[in-house]
Amino acid sequence: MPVNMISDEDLRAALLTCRINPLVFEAGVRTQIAAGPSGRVSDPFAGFSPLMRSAAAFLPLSVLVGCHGSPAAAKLAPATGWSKLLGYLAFPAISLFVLFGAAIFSVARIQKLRNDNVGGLDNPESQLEEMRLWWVNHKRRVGVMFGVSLTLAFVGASWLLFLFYIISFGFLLFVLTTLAKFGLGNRSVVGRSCMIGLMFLGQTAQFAGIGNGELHFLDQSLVMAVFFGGVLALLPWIVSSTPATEMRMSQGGQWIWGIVLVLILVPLMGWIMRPTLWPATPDRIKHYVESFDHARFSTASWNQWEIPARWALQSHLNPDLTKPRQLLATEISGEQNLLILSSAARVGLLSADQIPLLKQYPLFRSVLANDPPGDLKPHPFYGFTGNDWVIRAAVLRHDLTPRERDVLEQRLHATLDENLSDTKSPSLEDVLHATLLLEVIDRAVQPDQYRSRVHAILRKFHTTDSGRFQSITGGFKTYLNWPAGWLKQPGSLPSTAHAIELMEIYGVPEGIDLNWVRSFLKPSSNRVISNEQWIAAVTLDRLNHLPGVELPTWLDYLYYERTLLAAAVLVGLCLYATILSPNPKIKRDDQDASGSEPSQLVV
Amino acid sequence: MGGETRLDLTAFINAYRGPLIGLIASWGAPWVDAADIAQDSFSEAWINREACLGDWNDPEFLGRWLRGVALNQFRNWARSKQHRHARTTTVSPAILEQTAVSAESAPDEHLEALRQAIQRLPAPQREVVLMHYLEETSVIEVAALLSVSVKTVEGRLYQARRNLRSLLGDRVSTSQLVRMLLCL
Repeated sequence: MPVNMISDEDLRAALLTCRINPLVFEAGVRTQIAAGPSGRVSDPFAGFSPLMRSAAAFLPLSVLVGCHGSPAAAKLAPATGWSKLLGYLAFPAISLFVLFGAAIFSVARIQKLRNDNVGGLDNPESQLEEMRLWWVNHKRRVGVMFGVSLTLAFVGASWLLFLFYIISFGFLLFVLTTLAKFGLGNRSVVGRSCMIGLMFLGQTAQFAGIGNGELHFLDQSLVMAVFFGGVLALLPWIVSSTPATEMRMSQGGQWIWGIVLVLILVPLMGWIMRPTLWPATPDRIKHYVESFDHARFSTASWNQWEIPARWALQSHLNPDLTKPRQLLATEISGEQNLLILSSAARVGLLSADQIPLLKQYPLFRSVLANDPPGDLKPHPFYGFTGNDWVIRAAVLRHDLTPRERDVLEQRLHATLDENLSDTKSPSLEDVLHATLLLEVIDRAVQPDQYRSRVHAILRKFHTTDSGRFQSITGGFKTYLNWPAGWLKQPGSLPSTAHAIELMEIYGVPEGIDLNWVRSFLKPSSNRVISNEQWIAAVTLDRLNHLPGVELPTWLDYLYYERTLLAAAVLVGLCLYATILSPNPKIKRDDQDASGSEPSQLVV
Repeated sequence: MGGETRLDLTAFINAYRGPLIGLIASWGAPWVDAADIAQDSFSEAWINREACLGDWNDPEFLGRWLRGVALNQFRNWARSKQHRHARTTTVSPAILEQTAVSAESAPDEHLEALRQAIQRLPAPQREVVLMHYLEETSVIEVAALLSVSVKTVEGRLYQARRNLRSLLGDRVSTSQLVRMLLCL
């Protein structure tokens, strides 16, 4: 051992007094492990950081974490740095306070700028020159803001956009301050700057998929409508305050330009806001059900129509089904598609006197409820949706003997078992139809018999993944085994409708946040084209009427729609800043030449 | 299952107890508190082992996971310590420790100087000294907890012992003198 080093023995001896008894130490760890989980559950603030605990001293927990997104936020809270900041902002109360705090601060700042605002430049050439200088000085910052906005919109994260809009408040104030410093703080320049910003934000907000991966109760396309609405509101103030010389355009030209903008934006906003302006009310749903006289996409159209039609009948809207009956009669006189017959039978369109006209009924009926050979158990239905009509037709004709009903009952239970087991690719649709058919043959299922298994399968089918193409998330998948692994499977509207109907029978499973399902079913402008809006509307109604289900609170709405709220506040600030700014002062050449005082020219 | 779990937990604690307490002490916690924090860390890591996405049998991963848990516990302790300081008048734990030590054993000037010298070592060297020599733990566990290679730990230990010698003014201890004489 070299003598110029401290020995191992000395180091051990130096630290010997710091050693602890290993047995006592381990016993302490075991005691904590034994007491750990119960101790944690009893303390609702266990996962909270000190700041959250302090906040909880002033705000009740229900307000502080009043939304269903809070558990995730609670997990974030103990993290560090940016994660912690984002975690804090994920709490409803804090994020909303940040929003309103930023809004109040911005209003105060705009008011101060207005009070401090000097007369500004009075020469159009000077104004143009100063605007050019302003752009040269600040183009990098503006570019960064635009880049960030585009990126966040492309990512589709509206809650990040919320933060960005809050930052935009600061950016707006920065623009206003620098414009004032350059002597450009007049209504025309401020208004046009705000309008350009709002136009840009409106365009980025219309990216397909924005907010689809998150929980929202309102269509996030409304963010775009809010920004474009702000542009339209600013337009009269800008046109009326902009001198013709500044725009290098005649006064009439400015108005024409404004009208063109209105003609573009108003239809666009109308298109986006259709689900909000013309929601799927019971009357409209009834009208849709009654007006079904043409199946444009054959079985797909019938499937889409069937779900709202059954809801309308169950809701006692008493729709007039004359046109759908005529359509069914046409189908019976023609191709007799089995899937269409099943859809029509489920709605109750198929009548007993039409059954003799069904060419395939004798064949299907003959193999429907035969006793299985030997000791074999009755086999389940495969391709179940195509056979639905045969059972319903047989019941309509009072064509089933008690023995056949027994066999049929066993086959339907076998179908349920098959779909609820792990051995087959299950289908929510088959589970629902088997359950409904048991009721049709007067052998209604006992919900307790299958409740836990149905709940388990519902949990498996529920997804909060929006897939590769940013589909709306929160619904139920169609397939449990998805072959295209790289292309993640998003939720499907018909499958979600079946899942909610199953919940009506078997109850709501634990572990599924129904707000996610509400988010999936929210009115969306994208669904208007495909008529899926009716399925979404009736399914949402079924969901909201499930026993024991609570509707979202106002705090839920405020929190989950904070991006929309932030956009509205930003538009309000732009309007406030524009209206508060003074009209531009323009020197007339003759006054300039004569040396008289410049007068304010209000155009 | 219960027996297996007990064995695993015991082995887990025995492997990392010394280096973990040493590591926490090197962050600035007094020894008594370092032991408490280590206890919290072991129980926290064990309770949440289901949430651990890596392989528990991989020492490299396990060490990193345990260090992360300990760091969070240490931060919580540091925050609560600030609160306590703000509200109460306390005696420094170091003073209490010194009092306790002096009551149990006779003061050794050389060892006391060595303890003080350890505190003056650069942080990476102080870490490995406290972790390795507290319970004579293998450098493998020390390396796993620090997420560095065994060679790195050995290098730091070597530099630490050299630096300690120079910090102590090249004084030769009694034990070293005995060994030198025996070699002669």
